[in-house]
Amino acid sequence: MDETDNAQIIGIPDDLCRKAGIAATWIGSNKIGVHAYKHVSVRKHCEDLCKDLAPFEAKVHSLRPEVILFSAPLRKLVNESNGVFLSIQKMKPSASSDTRPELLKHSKQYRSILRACIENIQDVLEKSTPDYRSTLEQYLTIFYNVECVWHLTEILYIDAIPGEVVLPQLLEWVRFHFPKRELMAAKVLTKKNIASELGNINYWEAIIGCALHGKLEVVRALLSLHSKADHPAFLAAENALRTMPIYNVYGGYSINEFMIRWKHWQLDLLSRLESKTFISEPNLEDIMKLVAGDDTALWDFSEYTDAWYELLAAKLFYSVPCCKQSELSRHANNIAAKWQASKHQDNVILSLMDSELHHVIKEIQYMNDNGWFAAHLTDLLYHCGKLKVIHKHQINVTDQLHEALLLDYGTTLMSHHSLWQVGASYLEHCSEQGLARLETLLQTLSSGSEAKINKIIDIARENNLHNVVNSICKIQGMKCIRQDRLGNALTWALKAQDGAFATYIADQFLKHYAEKGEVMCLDLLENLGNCMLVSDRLTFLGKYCEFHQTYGIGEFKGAASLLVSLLVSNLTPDYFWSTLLWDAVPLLEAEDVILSSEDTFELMRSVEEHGDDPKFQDKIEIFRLAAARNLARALNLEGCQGKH
Amino acid sequence: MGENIQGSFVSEKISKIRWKHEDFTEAKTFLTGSWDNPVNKITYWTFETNEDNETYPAVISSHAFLGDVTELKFISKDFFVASSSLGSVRLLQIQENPYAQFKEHMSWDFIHNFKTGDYASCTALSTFEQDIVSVGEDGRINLLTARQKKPVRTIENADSCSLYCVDFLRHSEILTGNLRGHMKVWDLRNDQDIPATTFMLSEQLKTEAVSIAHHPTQRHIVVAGGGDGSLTVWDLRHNTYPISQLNAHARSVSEILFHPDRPENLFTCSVSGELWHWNNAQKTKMKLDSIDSHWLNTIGANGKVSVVSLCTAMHKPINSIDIDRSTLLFGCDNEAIYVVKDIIV
Repeated sequence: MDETDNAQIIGIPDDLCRKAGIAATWIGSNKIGVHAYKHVSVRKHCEDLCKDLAPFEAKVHSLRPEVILFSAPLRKLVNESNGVFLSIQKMKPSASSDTRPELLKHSKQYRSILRACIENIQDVLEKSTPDYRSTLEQYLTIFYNVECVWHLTEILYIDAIPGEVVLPQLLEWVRFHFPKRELMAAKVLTKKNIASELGNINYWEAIIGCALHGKLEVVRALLSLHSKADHPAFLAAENALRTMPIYNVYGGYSINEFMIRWKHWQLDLLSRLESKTFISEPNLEDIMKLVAGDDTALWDFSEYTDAWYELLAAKLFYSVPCCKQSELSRHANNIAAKWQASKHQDNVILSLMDSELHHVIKEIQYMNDNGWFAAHLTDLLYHCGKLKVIHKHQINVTDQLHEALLLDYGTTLMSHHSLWQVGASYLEHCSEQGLARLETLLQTLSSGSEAKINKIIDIARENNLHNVVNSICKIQGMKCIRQDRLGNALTWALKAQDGAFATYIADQFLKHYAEKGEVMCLDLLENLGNCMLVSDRLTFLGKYCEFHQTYGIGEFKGAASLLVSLLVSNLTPDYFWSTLLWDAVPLLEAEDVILSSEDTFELMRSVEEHGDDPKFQDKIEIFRLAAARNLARALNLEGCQGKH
Repeated sequence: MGENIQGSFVSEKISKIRWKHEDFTEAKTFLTGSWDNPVNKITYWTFETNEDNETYPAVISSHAFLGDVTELKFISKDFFVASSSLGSVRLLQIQENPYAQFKEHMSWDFIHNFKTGDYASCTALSTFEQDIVSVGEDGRINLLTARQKKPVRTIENADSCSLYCVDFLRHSEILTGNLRGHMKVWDLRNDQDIPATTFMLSEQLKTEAVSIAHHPTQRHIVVAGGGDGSLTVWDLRHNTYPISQLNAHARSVSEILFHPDRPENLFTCSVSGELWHWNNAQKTKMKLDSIDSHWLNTIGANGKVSVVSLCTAMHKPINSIDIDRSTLLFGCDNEAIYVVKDIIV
């Protein structure tokens, strides 16, 4: 998108940077490191440059966008709305049943979360220090606006409007977001003083405000407190207001019937205005002009409204009470143009009424809420099937837009030390690029205790990101090796079923044994079970430990057969042959004949093949002697047994 | 979400949640510990009532804590031990006067560490009256006692893998579980640093042993939860062969909890966001004739046990649970704490 005018310029307060120029590098997903840099091609220039710039102190400035969602009160919003988001994703898209009521429920949940968040910020605001206060006030403004737009979107796109007559909901929306004058009216009413206009300076303002919101009962109640309430002008006004027909879909009239009744009533009121019934009371006359649908009176009262859409509601209420959703756009544009509405919020609301959803989505990305609103509202509209965004080349880009917003939001959260789990759950629901993004970001998470690593692996496993599981396990394994914890390293290798890594670690164990003559981590190795099959080297190690274990408990026969099977297995690493052969000597020299002639031949064959290790040279004679003696004994014995 | 469940968002992920039990009355206050923040907190909570007559948790006091809080356990009415992912264990007291605060009585700093000098996470601890046993990723077991700064005993290379859970079987015997699912019984009267017995969480599947709980009145009955969501039950009087093994949760079990007063009720929670209540449908009273066999023994074999989900599955891992009478608390990775009321036990 071409949004060049939104570029933000950040000054780097560094003298060296100013003189030399800067370069920047990404640090993680949402941070950049900025440092002084000048490209120098010839060495001589470099020295000149040093002179120019000296004395200098090289600094790296790390820059990251401020994310307001990471502040404590807004973290509640992030987490709670994540629950609603995930519930929406779980809804089954079914053609038969209408998902609209369900989605409306979710929309209301989102709004109540927003309200709760606003209330929470207000609570915190009361107790906070002045410098934090302005930040919180800024949050309040942002989320007030968000809620206001969300509410209107809900009315226009998510809720089903009976008979498409949009006015009742629109009035409700305006009343909800501009409660100031109604509160004023309530104050006047609670005093219940006769001649209220004398005791309350806001008396007329309250009446006008309520009249603009279509709160006719309140207007009538206020008028009845006027000192001249029993004068003919007031009585006529009361009569007109009481009899004003209000459209109700369930009221039993068709729109046409209603319009006839309403026109009739309006003509009656107009004739009263013409006959100067209200002339004695100018304020009252102006109000009655408004009620009769007089445009001039409406605009005269615009000073009592805070936004053009407040005036729009009044306009519709008194001039077009049966305005359909499709006609809304025309009226809205007229009012907005005359009002000269130009604020960001104004544009968003106008686009909503114009049914230009793609424009709405474009605009709400600039509400400074770090994409929370755009992502969640777009997702909701997307699930409503209300979103059709057509690219300028007539390509439907709805899916891409939906995904791009979720991706951005998820990525932002993934950069937070605690909210990464929430972020991951958005990426999981981006069918196109989500998993690739998740795969990259999961590996950039700062590691911590194994408890955290296990949670990261859990997310990776859920999404079948085996690469990530392998890579994290390997990083953990390498960390363990550096910390001299081979056993734990092996466990991580096994967790990832990583044969090559297991081989590497098994080698470390065997080398350690070959050098020091002790087996590390016996408790682990003795209990490997069939996990050892993940790598040949590990199998060898496991079997070798088993050999020691068997030997240790005096099961020499068993130990011998294990040893021979290891010799013939072809799994022995070169550096280990001498150790393995030397282990045979005590068995050869044992009092009883343990190794058969056949086994001994196998040993002798092995020593011819692999006994050339320099370490073994001084032992080879002993080995041969032992083998020869054992062979003699074994042959003797076997010969005797053969006779029987 | 049911009527009897109430959640409060607290802006930090909760790793541990513990009632402060009272004598003769319902618990009114509880502790939480957080994780994954640069500076974590142990927070002391009570309940307040708002204008709509709804009770909600409110903070009484908060204590900054370095590293993730990995365990919280009360050793007396107001003394508790807390362990950290930086390998330290602290003994703290909840003081009410003159104002609510935590007072640190003892601190065993970095008693879990690697040979390279790095911190090792203290993953779990268990208590028996004033005695504390802690285990860590360094495979070390530390025996501590509340009044003494120096560890009573350290078993240096107790395990070549990270230890994940520990429990006192009796005063002189502990059970540990590690990353590979090796369970080791240690007789503390034995001076040699070797386990009395070693057995496996599961013979076929090598998965980590994540949590252990013993039956409140029959300590020899032990349940352990696995990284694959399984539950394994042993009767350690007989032998170390599991008496039952169940595929329970979809993912790793986070905590297992027996109801302290009504042990026929068991609660488990999981990384999958599930919270289950296991209840022996036939009350133990009915089974006076066979005192020796516990309902957990036959949990897999017949359908006498009912399992109820106490809430619709959370979208994030449930890390910790605790119960007092019929009110259960749980803490979750969605940065919220929940109160489940009126559980039928």
